[in-house]
Amino acid sequence: MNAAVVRRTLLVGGVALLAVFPLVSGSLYYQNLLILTFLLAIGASGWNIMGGYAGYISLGNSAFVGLGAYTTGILAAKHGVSPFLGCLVGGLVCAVAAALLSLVTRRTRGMYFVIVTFAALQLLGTVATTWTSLTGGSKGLALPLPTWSLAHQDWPFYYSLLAVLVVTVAVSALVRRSKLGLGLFAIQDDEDKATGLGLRTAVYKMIAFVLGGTFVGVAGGIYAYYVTFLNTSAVFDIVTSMLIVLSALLGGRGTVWGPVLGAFIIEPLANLTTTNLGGADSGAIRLLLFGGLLGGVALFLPRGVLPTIATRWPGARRSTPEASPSTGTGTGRSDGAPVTALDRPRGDGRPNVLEVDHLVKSFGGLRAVDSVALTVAAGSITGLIGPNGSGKTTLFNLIDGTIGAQSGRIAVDQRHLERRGRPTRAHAGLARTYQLPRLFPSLTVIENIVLPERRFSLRRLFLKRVTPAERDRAMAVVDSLGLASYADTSPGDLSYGQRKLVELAQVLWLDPVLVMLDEPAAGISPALSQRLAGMIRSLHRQGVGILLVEHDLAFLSSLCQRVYVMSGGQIIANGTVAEVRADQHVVDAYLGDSVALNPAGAPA
Amino acid sequence: MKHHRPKVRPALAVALAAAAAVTVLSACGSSSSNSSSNSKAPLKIGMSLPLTGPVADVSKSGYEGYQLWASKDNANGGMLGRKVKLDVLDDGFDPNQSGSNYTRLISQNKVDLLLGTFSSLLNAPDSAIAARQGMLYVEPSGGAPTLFARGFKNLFFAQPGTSLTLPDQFVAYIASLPAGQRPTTAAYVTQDDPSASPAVAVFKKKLEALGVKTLYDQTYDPSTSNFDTIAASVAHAAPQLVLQGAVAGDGAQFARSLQKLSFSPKTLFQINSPADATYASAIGGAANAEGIFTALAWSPEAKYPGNAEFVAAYEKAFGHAPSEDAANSYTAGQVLAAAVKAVGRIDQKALAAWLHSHTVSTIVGPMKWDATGVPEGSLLLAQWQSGALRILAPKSAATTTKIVAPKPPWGT
Repeated sequence: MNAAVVRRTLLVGGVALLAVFPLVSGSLYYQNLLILTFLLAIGASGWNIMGGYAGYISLGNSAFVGLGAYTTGILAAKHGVSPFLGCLVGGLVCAVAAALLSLVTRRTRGMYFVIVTFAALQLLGTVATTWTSLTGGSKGLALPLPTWSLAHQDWPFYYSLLAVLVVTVAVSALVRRSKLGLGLFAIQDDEDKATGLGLRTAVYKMIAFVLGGTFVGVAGGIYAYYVTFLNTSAVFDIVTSMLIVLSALLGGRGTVWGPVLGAFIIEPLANLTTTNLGGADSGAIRLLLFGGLLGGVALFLPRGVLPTIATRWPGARRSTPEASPSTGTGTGRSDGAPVTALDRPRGDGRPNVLEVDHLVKSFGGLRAVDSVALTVAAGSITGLIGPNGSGKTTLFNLIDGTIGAQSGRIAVDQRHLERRGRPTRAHAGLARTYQLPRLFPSLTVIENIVLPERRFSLRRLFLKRVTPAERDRAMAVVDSLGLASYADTSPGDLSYGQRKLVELAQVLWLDPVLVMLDEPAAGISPALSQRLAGMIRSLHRQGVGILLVEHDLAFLSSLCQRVYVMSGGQIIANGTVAEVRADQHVVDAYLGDSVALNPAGAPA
Repeated sequence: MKHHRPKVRPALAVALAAAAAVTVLSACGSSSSNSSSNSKAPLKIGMSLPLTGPVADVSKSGYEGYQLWASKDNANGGMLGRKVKLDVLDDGFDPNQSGSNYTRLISQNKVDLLLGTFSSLLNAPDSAIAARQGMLYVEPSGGAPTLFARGFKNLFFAQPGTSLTLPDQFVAYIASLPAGQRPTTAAYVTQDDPSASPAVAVFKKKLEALGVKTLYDQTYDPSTSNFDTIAASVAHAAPQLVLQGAVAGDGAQFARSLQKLSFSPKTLFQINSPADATYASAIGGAANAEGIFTALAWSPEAKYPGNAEFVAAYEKAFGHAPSEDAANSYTAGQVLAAAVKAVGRIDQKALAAWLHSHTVSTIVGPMKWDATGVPEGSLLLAQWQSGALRILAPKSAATTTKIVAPKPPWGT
């Protein structure tokens, strides 16, 4: 039976079950339990967009509950606004707060992000406590009691929170399926690389944060009306944040349903221990239980329940790549003509796609890149060689913006980029591969290839991860690389050389004017090396400028019209491979002969 | 993942089946839980207490007060001929959990009556749940003014006064002093606490009306543990009267900081802290405590009917002297029992109506309430004298007529 049908049936059945429950049960206690569970599930699902998809762990998400609750509470208590309208304002306030927080945390990652979000929570709590004229401070804020008939029990709370939960999960699922989600997972895997592919990751993260915060804020507003009394220490409590995180981790971070599942485990469990187990001792049992649960999840279920089930139960797993033998690796058409010597038009006369001038970068006292100037013409293949530690990779990092230059100019396709961020450089047509290929293991090979963005467009973020047109085009690329059967697997399953090919295909998706290749042929088989050379030549024919770092001089001389030689952070020679080979400075540098003794390294 | 969507038919079928299942299950559930109106079954009284968490120590003695009240009541035949049974849940001082617990007590455990919990933080949401469900709610604690501003008809505070009336006896004492002996300047220091800070605000307002000039006024965060800076500012202002809205250990900490600076105001009043049995030893002995004023909701020495009996029974049952919290919950039990006895049936509305129109005799004296549930009385004014707290006012409860003034300097 089709897994999708099973899943959809379970889903519709579950929602229907929850929808009819209060009508038939009549138990206020279970309604209360489900209301609190919905709240936790909304919190965890919202958290998951940032924490699960993008990998940014926030401990401040209960701040959104508090912010939504207080906005609603203040509007209701002081201005008589219905809490069911006020909670929408609460959501709006949370959206703005989330956007601000994402600006503040733009440059923080990992542990620092955790700390900043935690600090933001504390700060908001302090503000709420001290701003007594607005929030009532430590005296708390009392909302009016519900006015509807007791016969309707807590239905308005129940159904509105259920609706918010459904919307939150739907949004979370849509995000996961969209280019936005694709970008968020890429950010989780390798944010630097993602920016280098033109993704405006700050915008991705801001949208994720805002989406996550908004619904939690709306839910917080409804919650405020439900509890009818707000107190800063309880509302801005770190424990709420911890439960949100625990739910998401337990159920499965990064999955759509994991956080919901986690909440449906944790909230009832908390209530069960409190009310059914220990009586007066239950608090102690609850502490043990949650401590044990957190430890247990960390030790035995690091990926959460859902992903663990998915891997243990093969039927539920997404179809693994069955090798489609007919179009296997064998038929992968090799690109371009057999390797021949230089026979392409020289770069002379064409505009330069890269102009670097007086570029300087020091690390402490070490001048890693010292007043470097070089140019790459459109449709040319330019080599960059030099001994290890001579500054080639640093130069690449300066050009693509991974690190900032102290001075100097960088122009790609006549656009000055030395002050621009990496996405802008990618949008200008600059693409780059790495010595060790950096692909995104959370994405499939196809998704890796279509990820790059040549220009930023908000509308594009909401397209499918891989549109049919993109898929067709990418399949053609993958097929040409002989990797058709790996199209929908993680690049982690590929060999080192295959990953190099995929990375090259990935940066070519940018439709670049300049491609910088960092040792593309290192450590790969001669066959793959041939295929790579074919790809490079084909680019060259299309008029793309190529800057190539390579130690393999044979490989270089078969491709390059011109070679720059770097040593000690400076360009010490340039010319054809044969010319620089004959240069005494170059020979000295490669023999390790006291580069420092011979600093004025201009070729004769 | 191909795109021919499955028809929603199977999903719908499952949904309907699930709905049917819920209907059957809940029908079973409700039929089995309908048997508690048997008149010989025990009378269930529900409460959720913060037995774990940050105020666990306080609520433990409160719980003991409830237990003692229940066992005494049962020894006297229980209520309406039924044994009293306490249904206690723990909320770990979490307002969410506390609310869930009261909801469960009402709807799931189907308790006959409720009793309140500790602190305004928990009583605020819990009293709203009780109000919404039309249940009588007598609370042993939770005197913050916000609780009584919501127009609940079934909320009753089982202490003789609230934060707003706490200053009454002390202000009356100051007013009774001849003009020459009255303090002329004062400093106010209070924790940012829903009970303490409103009380201090009332102190300030009433004392200023008596012509006492305010030299210093500071509110500090509940997490404050070092009072040296505040004490230095107070000493610098050199007021004749120092008034602190202390909560728990704050009072002793602040007094020690004043001692370090050798600043001993002529009059020192602290809320809450001096009532603690360990207060004198915490500030360096009885000599240091001499002359310090506080307000008490209850005193073991007060001569109200049943009080001495309560103290003796408590010491016998638990092996230590009762605290104010124990007395407060015992009082709440007394109030509830008086109403049930008088009305003769469990009718939440009638019970509340009776309490609104009658006076109840308790171990903290005769109690009556206004329409919002605020007791129309005041707390006791007490002072440390020779190593013990003595009650100065009101006259009906006073254990001494002597008043130590001015406060002797520290360490004499």
